[in-house]
Amino acid sequence: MRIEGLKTYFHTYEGAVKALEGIDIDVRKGETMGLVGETGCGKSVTALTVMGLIQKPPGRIEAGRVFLGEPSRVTSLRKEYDVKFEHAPGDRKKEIESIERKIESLKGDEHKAERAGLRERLAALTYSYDLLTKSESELNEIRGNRMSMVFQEPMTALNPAYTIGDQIGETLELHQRDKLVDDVLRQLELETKAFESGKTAARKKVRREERATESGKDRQEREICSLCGATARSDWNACISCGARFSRILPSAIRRMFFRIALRYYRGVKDNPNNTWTYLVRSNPVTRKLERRMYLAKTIRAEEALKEVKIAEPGRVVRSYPFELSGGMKQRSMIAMMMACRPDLLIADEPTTALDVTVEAQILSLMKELQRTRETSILLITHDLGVIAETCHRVAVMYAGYVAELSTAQEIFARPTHPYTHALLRSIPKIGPAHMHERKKPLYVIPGIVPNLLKPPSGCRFHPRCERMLDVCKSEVPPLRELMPGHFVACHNPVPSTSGVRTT
Amino acid sequence: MKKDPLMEKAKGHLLYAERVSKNFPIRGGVFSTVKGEIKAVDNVEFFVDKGETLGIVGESGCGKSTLARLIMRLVKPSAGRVVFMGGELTKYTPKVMRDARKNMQMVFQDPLSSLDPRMTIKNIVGEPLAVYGIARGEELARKVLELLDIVGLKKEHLNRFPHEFSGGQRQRVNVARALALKPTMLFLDEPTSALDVSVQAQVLNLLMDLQKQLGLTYVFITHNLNVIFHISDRVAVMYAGKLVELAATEKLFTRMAHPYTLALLSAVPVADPSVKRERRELTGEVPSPLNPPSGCRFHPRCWQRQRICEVEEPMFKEIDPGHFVSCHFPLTTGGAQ
Amino acid sequence: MSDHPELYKAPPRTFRERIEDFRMRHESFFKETRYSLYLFSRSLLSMIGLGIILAVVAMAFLAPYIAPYHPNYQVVSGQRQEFWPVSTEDQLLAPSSDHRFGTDVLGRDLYSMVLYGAWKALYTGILVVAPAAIIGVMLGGIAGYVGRGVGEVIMRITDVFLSIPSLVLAMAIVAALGPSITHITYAMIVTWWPWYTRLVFGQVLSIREKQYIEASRSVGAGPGRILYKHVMKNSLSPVVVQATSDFGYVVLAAAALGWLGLGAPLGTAEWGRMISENQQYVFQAWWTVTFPGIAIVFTVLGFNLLGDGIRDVLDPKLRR
Repeated sequence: MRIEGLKTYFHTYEGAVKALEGIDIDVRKGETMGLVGETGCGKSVTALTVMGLIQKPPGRIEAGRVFLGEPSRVTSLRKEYDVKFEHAPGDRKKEIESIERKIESLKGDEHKAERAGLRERLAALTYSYDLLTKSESELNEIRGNRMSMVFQEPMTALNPAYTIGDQIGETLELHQRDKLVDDVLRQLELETKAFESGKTAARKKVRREERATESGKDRQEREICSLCGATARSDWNACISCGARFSRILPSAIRRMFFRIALRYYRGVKDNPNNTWTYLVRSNPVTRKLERRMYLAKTIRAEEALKEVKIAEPGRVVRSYPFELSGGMKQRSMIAMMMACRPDLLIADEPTTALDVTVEAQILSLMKELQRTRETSILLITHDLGVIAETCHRVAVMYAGYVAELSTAQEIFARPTHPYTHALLRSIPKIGPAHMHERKKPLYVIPGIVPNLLKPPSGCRFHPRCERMLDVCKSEVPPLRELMPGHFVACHNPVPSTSGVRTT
Repeated sequence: MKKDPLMEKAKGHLLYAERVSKNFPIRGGVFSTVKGEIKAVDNVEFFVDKGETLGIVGESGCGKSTLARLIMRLVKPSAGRVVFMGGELTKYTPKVMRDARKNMQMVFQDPLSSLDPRMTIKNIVGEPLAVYGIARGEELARKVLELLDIVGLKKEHLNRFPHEFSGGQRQRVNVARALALKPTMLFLDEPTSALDVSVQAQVLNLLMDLQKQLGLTYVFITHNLNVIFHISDRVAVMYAGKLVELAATEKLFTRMAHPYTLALLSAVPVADPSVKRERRELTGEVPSPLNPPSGCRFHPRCWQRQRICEVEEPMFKEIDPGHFVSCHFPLTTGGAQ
Repeated sequence: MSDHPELYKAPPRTFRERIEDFRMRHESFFKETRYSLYLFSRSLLSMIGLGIILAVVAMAFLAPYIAPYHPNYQVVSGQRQEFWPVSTEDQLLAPSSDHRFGTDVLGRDLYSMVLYGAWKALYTGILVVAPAAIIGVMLGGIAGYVGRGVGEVIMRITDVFLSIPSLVLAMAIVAALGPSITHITYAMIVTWWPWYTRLVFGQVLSIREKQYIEASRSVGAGPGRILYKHVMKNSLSPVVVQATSDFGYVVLAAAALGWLGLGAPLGTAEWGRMISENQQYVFQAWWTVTFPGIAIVFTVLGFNLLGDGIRDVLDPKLRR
């Protein structure tokens, strides 16, 4: 993702709050970019703007572009035309016009396929990656699918009226409905085969003594299919792996008919997802039962998503409501929900601030693991410099609506160049044998207070509090310059690189 | 006449808490019958000396906030005795307690919700003075101004409402209110958790400054280990309602004895990417207070548990002068940070 | 600690100094009020509501001055009652320049009667809402804060009163004491206060757990002081909203009771009564019923809009 020159203002009763004043940040594939700053620096606003969640009446995006990387089909077409993803739709006028002319010239049914292909190319060329220009419906397709956000308070970000399985299922249904339908079809076919070959099974309760889990020894009972021995789900009428049906209530003729109806319905849904016919079936209470298989498929997939975040007892969690879970489990469920569709970008807004230290460590290592296995890029927003140091590859330090410093994590901590970063690192109490002597002494305090964004200071917004202020700082906004390779600083008078701050 | 052993133990200490416990009954059913108990604080014993800062760390739900409120008798303890300044608090009548309360005040956690949004700062800070009848009207305003001055606020802040201030300023108001009655001991319940990093530094400096100037004793409760390391003289670690370790700060951080302390310290993110440390990552979650594990409450998550840990609760013993641990197998050599 | 000479400034003596001091001390309060008024004025509906209410109030106070016709007053059984001049040749006249709203079956000018009725409506409103609110808030506050035994008892008593039908009670009181607006207000107060108790009870339950209450306790404040100074002030906003809307509903209820013949005695210009006296003629003379009806509708609507507006202004989430 790349953010260029993003400006977001909030027009309130007392004036315009200049929350973001032209920021430039990029997140590369497979890396974690940390966004650090104090309250009011604009990091949450950045995340919300990227996701398109800013309330438009008071808020308004005054300027800027936000580019999100591309779906693969478009990539290959673009490669052909050598178009970079920052290019705006109007950039390749010549090619666009030539294609349009070609479409015009090829009239008639025999050229239908050709025209479709050409239209595809046209779409690829005119595709805008700028999230800010997309309509709500386009954004809806992207959100949760290629880009998702994990919020700070898991208690309030999860809907208390729905089970975890329902909430994860919502994401799946919106974006991966075709995969769900495939799942259902597979299961249906399995069941019809089992049915035809006359297999029926009864459920069996098997007692298993599990090892000591975290909350003490657990005796667990599992129900398994008596034919194939796989775990049977209690809300399903047939076995998942062999297809044998568990109940024998209905006579075989009626059951065969039900199978056929279900098969026809789901095949219809697969071929034509937005058919009005399927919509009718879904919406009336009589035939709505057909959707039950879909619901069960969603639950299974939700459980898998939970397994991937290493949550204990995923089967139980899927069926629980948020209030029954602890903070750490809620946050894991939210991560599972957001990662369910394998997004390219995960924005995490203070994901661990509300959690205990030990749980925080677990969640952070989970996120690192997920990033490794899925190559997801993460934009991690926090005010805790320790978290940044442990998890991020690159860091952007924000202050009062603009980016003060942007570099790799090593660089930021070893050679903080912007006076704000430098002061921030000095003002946190640090643990360690090297810091024993600093105990009980006054901490370094950055003089002054965070500026009021209604009337921010002129020039560099940090200048009233800066020790190294020069006259030019009062009048001119310092641009973000690359002072060292890969290390960008927005300052007229940066801290020389020899005075590094050792934080060990 | 037999001498009270507690008084003997408590001599020389400003505060001595002996086996303090609090159980919350859970009521349910038709007649609100007691169904179970939440053992929020279980048999905690510790002391605080004059002029020092005792830090209490633990994760959420470990009972540290409840412990503070138990000692201040904002909540009635189920068991245990507390001796403060030579008098046994737990035996006080409400009237005597009211007087004693002048010496123990509390600074609360969330600066916003601990100030009445409809009262001006003057009324908020002046409330203790008004309640105890120390000052009124003009005199009250004067005293409030003095207090505001001590914490670094100005005269024009007097008549404003809490929501007009920033978090750091609100926390200063909290401190001013706590100092109004000139207490000897202050309990600080997560005073900096809701604040920004730079504001946190200001507030901590203010607290340390005040401690020197006014000779206060602090009991500082937080889950932020960096802060504890910086300002406490001694640290107590709580887990699931029990006190698991108590030692001088340096010792705790370098030669900790309880496995939980090691895990806790290794889980704290350190602001330096080049440091590689021994990580002890804990699995599982903090146990539910409704159904705590048998024996040592930490045993399900402990990597060195033995049979005895599941059965018998370890005693809170002094393994080194001033260093108390509640563990059957305290770490002796390992855990150097 | 530094020396601050300003701490020891002498208290204000001259008049100007006092004004200055007053302004400074209440600066925040004024700022809040200004902001509230601004927020209120942003909503068109709220302003319309305010306008309607002001019009009704104006009607009530200016009635003796702007009405073309006036009632006579006589003392009947110890009460001052209105008697409108009856005239047989002016019966059921359509609206004209002489009689803006027409006349009713007894030849009385409807326009004047509607104007004079405004005062009665407002009077009823205040007489019911104020005591009901005060009683209800006090009981609710105590019930919520003290809780357990006392709270339960109070809430059960509240339930009992909730189940009393105001209509029957009004009839009983009127039968005993005679028709009068004041008498029906007794009945309405008795049946209205439970709503406030419930409202405040819920509010107090949630405020009780807030940290500033705990903080006050830790500095030694007793329950009485906390209840009065902290809990009450913070739980009043929904009460204000409810009371404003209730004004309208009380007017409606009073009109209903008046329509039934309870309440204002025969011949008084009260909107409900006017409708009941003339309802048989509605097809011949629609104006006799319509204009009082419109007056009732507008009053209730106005108070509802005002209540909504106030609620939006007081809602902390919508502020700033």
